[in-house]
Amino acid sequence: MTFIRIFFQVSYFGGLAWIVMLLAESRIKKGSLRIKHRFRHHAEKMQSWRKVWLIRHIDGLLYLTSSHYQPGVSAIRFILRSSYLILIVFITLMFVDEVPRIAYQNPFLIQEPLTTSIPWTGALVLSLVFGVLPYVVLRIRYSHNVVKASYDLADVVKIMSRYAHLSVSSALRYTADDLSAANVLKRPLYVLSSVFSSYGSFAELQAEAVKFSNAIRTTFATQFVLDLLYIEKEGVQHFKRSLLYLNDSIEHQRQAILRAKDENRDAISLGIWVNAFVILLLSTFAIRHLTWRVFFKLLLQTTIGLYMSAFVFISFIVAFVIGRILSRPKLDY
Amino acid sequence: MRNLFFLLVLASLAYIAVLVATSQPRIRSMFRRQLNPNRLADRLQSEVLQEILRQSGVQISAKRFNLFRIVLILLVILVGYGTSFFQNEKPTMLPLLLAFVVWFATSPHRHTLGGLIFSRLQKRQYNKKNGELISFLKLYEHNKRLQNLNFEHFVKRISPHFSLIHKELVILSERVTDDGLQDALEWFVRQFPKDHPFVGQIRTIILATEGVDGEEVVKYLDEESKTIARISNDLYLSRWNTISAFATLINALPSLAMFFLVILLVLYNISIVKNPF
Repeated sequence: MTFIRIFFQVSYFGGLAWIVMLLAESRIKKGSLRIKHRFRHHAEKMQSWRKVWLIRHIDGLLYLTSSHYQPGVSAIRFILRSSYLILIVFITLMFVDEVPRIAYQNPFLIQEPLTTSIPWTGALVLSLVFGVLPYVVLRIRYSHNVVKASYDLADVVKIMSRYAHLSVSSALRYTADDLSAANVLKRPLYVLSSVFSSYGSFAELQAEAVKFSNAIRTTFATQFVLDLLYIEKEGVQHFKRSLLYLNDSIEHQRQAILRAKDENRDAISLGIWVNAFVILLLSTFAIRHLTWRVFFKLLLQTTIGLYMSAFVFISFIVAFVIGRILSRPKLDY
Repeated sequence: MRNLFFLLVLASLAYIAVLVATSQPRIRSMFRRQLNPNRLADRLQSEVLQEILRQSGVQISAKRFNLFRIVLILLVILVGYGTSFFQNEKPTMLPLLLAFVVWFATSPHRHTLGGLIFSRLQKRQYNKKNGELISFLKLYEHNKRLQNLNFEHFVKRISPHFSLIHKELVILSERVTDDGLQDALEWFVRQFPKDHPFVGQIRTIILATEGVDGEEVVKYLDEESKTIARISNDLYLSRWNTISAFATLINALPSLAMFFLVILLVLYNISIVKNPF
């Protein structure tokens, strides 16, 4: 019964919060359309978001992960969504009166489930955890994409040598058109191409180019961007030659990496299977010793079992993610 | 409610005591000078901690870092004991334990968890710096082969692309203009530790190729590129070894935890069976 009651309570308050948000959003949209133009003009003029460390940081992460990246705006949107999430989870948890108790001293004596209330510190911690989750996912995707970007750059260099007779901005645009959708550099190349076609001063161009190379952070990316800047200044006659040379050195280094990787790739990728195997083996041993019912009651209805199984679960996932990220090194010197 | 009034009475008594004690203007001004928040915060600045933070790549001032630690510890203790005080519960050891954990994980002393984290970060930063040096050498080679820019212009152009040796490169380019190539490179080598594996070789390569043009340079660079490849390969292998050690450590954690979990559950089951209540 309590489960159903809690479900209705949560859905009631969640729906209420949702309606309030929708109303507020439509209200704000109406009012903001008028001042939007002026505000955006000011915001773009001041570039004030660059001063805030958090926004700069999130902006750098979204540059390689978001498929609809806009400088500054995407980062602010992401931060606002995370703070909405924190607020909504906190308010919802504060309105839930009682939850069934999960952890008991002795789970075998319990006839009907007891209930407890959530303390406000617990609600705060839980809502913070929920609010940080999007950031963690973003971070994982970013560290995956950074490594992928260093390999995708090879494709970009190869395709771009076909368009080496054009000006830099159109060569970038055609190259981005030809890239597959899975290539993480597609959107950044469009952004870079638009900067190359419409920059006001050379310093502005250089700042955007540095942003591109710092997002990938390999020697080849720096070399690529330096070549682009050099060619934009001096003309396209050496464009093809330098791209081909860059392609040569990328392929050379890729061979070296593959050779180094062959020696100890297995240790990391095996780790995940060893973990799963050990966990299964120990669980079957414990089940044989204690029987199903006792094992799961101990695991899921005692404080010590809950804490430890949560730890095992989280460390298993962390090991999986870290192993996946580390097992593929960047294409760099 | 009773506790709240009790607190209010205590606070007002303390306020009256402060008023009485600082009735003389001289004493009051002394108090004000001593208890100035900016002055108190300035005391938290520590040069040793600042150096440690800088070397481990954390871009934050030591004052702010210390302030953050103290505020976090105070918050944990205040929230933990404040709620139990207002709700008339018996205070537990948990907030103190949490405060200790916070201190232990952020302290820069050598024998704590924080010290371990900082030394790891420093090592990582050192490896990254070496990677940037190799990258600098590769860019130099590329420039020498294809574009052949002036050395100081080249260094100035590539400096914004590096984050760790950015400052050194800017100063190097200024020094080449002012003192000449040799002195500037001497200065650059001195910025790194004495037993650095390859910064001396970088200096030799640049000195040998700078000022020479055409075919000779390409021939020399072809010879040297084997050395460069060996250096970068060594660096790559060492980095890869640290990564795989770290990954093995992380990978062993879930299995170990599962092992302890099963043992604990069996023990707990035995204790429940023996003593059901």
